[in-house]
Amino acid sequence: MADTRTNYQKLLAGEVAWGPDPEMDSLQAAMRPRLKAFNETPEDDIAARQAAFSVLIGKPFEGLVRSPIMVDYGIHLTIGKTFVNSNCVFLDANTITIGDGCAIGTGVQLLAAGHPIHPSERLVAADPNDNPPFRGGVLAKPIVIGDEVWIGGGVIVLGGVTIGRGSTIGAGSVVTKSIPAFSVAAGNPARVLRTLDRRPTFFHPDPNDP
Amino acid sequence: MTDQRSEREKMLAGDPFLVPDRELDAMVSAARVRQKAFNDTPRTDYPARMAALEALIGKSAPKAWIESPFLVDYGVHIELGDCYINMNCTFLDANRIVLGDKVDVGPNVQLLTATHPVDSAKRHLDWPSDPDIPFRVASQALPITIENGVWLGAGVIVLPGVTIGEGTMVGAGSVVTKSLPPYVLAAGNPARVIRQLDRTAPSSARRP
Repeated sequence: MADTRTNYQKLLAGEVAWGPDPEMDSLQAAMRPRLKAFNETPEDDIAARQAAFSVLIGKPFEGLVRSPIMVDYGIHLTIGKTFVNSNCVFLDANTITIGDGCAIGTGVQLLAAGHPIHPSERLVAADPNDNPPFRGGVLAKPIVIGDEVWIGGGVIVLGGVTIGRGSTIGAGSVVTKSIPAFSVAAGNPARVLRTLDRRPTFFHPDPNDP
Repeated sequence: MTDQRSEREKMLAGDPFLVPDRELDAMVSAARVRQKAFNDTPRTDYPARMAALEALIGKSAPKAWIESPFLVDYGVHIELGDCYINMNCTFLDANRIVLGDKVDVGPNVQLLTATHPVDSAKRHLDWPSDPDIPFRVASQALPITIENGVWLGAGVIVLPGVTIGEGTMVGAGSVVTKSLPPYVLAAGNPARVIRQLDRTAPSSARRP
């Protein structure tokens, strides 16, 4: 039976989607003015910034994000009462979910979007009249950042990764695989260096919360 | 005895402090306005760029050149000698960031003075009395010093409290977690000394 799903549906299902695609392109183009409006909202007007970010992601937002930020779609982001510092890149070709009480450092890149590794699977011919005359495969997986996670400056998190609550990721790390809760991880690829005690925290008075 | 110092005073002393804080937020917001003015000044208008840079860091920097965009936290804790800083660098100056003479900084370099407790139970400490601030994060900031003749490759990240010694080169993409001695080549995450550099070779970094 032929697969009748659109490229966008395949993208969100975590399967290879082929771009350029009119539906995906129009979602990204519609996001650009909302992104520009947010980035240009004065840094000291917290209420206006939260409102502009809420418009960007299409859902309520009570955290703090500093400009500039760059996103892929915007609408696949969900962010709690969390602080995001300047110059982050959230490539939300699939869902990126960030909990409460996180501290996201400068220049952090959350990259839900990836590609098939072999060029034969990454690039296919399109109509020769198309511009460009080839199509690229996008393979995007969800990213989940639990509550009270601290991500150091310049960290890169790849698609499909979950970082458990209360964990810390050292600056400049590349997180290729999921990190359990209450871990301290660093390096490229990031490895768990030690595990923290489960204690009552600000957002989780019950240390046995998952 | 309770600590009567402001969060700003604690921050600059290298002691634990809490953010968000009204005084610190006002400083950051004011810096954002000066930062935008600097970043938007045409590269061809040399005097205007120098004036905008000196306004951003609040002091004279007659021999520093920085490409836009350049991002700071406060701006006023940065001191620049005779140096070149390429595009999209982030200087998170919650404590002093001092660059000497003949310093080259590649694109996307991040100098990060601010840090937090690793234990999340210690990171979110205080239930604040200010209803507009949903929670506060325990922080600490330690100075970063880049001595004369240092070259930081593209994308290097330097962590709080680090001093990079005279004439040292740090390879692209490195994460410098501990201070580096003078005249070495260091690289990696974490950055490690790969070899010594020749101190006797002529160098513009050396003082006669």
